[in-house]
Amino acid sequence: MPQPNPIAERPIADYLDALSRAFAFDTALAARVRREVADHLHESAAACGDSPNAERDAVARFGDIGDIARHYAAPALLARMRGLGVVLIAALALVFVEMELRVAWYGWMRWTASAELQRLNAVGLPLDRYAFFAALALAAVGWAYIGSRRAPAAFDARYGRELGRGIALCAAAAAALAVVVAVETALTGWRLGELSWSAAALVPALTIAAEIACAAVLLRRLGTTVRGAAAALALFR
Amino acid sequence: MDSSPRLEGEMLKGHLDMIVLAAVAAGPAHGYAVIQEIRRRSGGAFDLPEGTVYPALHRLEQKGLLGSRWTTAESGRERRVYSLTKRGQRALADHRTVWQRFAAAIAGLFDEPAHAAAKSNR
Repeated sequence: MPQPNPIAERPIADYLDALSRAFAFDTALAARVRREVADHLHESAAACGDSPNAERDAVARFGDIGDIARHYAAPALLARMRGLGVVLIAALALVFVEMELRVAWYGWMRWTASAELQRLNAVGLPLDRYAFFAALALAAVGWAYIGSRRAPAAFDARYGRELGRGIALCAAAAAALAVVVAVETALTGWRLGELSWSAAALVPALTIAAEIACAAVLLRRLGTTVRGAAAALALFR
Repeated sequence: MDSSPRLEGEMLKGHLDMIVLAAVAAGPAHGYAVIQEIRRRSGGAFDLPEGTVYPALHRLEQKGLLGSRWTTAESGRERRVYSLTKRGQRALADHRTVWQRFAAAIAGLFDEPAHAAAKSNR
């Protein structure tokens, strides 16, 4: 007697596994959709007798996984890109506040720069300023671009290109901000190295730590967005 | 060439959000029940691929027109139940008004040649 193929006998489970793979662009959304679709398919199969054939029919009625994923991908990736835009603007604002706070603290504490630090500042501060302005300009353009995008009914090649442009603008702004934070870290580190340790040194140390944290959160968010968009582009190419 | 089935499919896609809102207006329901309700109330005319309704439910939830929560079904499975929000009720009322105006206008267009033909025959 021929043995039933255990893989062929699990149409719903196979379908759900394929669905999870098609939602690689957003793992949290994948988990939610999988739970919801599992309930639907089991109820649909139960209404028709709950046999492997009923499962196959339920899966067939549900439709093509690629089509379903495309419909979810468009708004999900736009929401993620908008989230990246918000994090970018927040990171810029926080880094600016930290920089101003540190400068005000140096003035209040009457900390003067040594000759070596002045030479470093002569190179570092213009770089820092121009990188910050570049980050600000790129973020403004990126924000306007992201804000003007509308998600189509389903993910398509044109929308993929739009996502790519939005992410590229955010990535360029994030890179410029990373330069700002790196220069600020180097200059502040140099200054702190010249000082004898005191509680007053905590202010520049903490503000630079906050700047690094802002940059890290932004880069992490950028990485998640890039991975999601890349997964969608790979799946729907 | 008969383009009716394709045209109907496109029309259905264009009005999917309104159709789903109208189905959920009957009371809180999970995706499977929403599909059954659409099928029943349309007399089987709207026989959608079932998977297309879930992105619409998700989209309407993102717009704040539907709310949702997880519940446990009698079978023990987890189930997402959707209900119309206040914004959803207003949006559905707006859709209904626009649709009735549109349908009346289309009916007028279709009826006019018949009236004109009747007049010319007098």
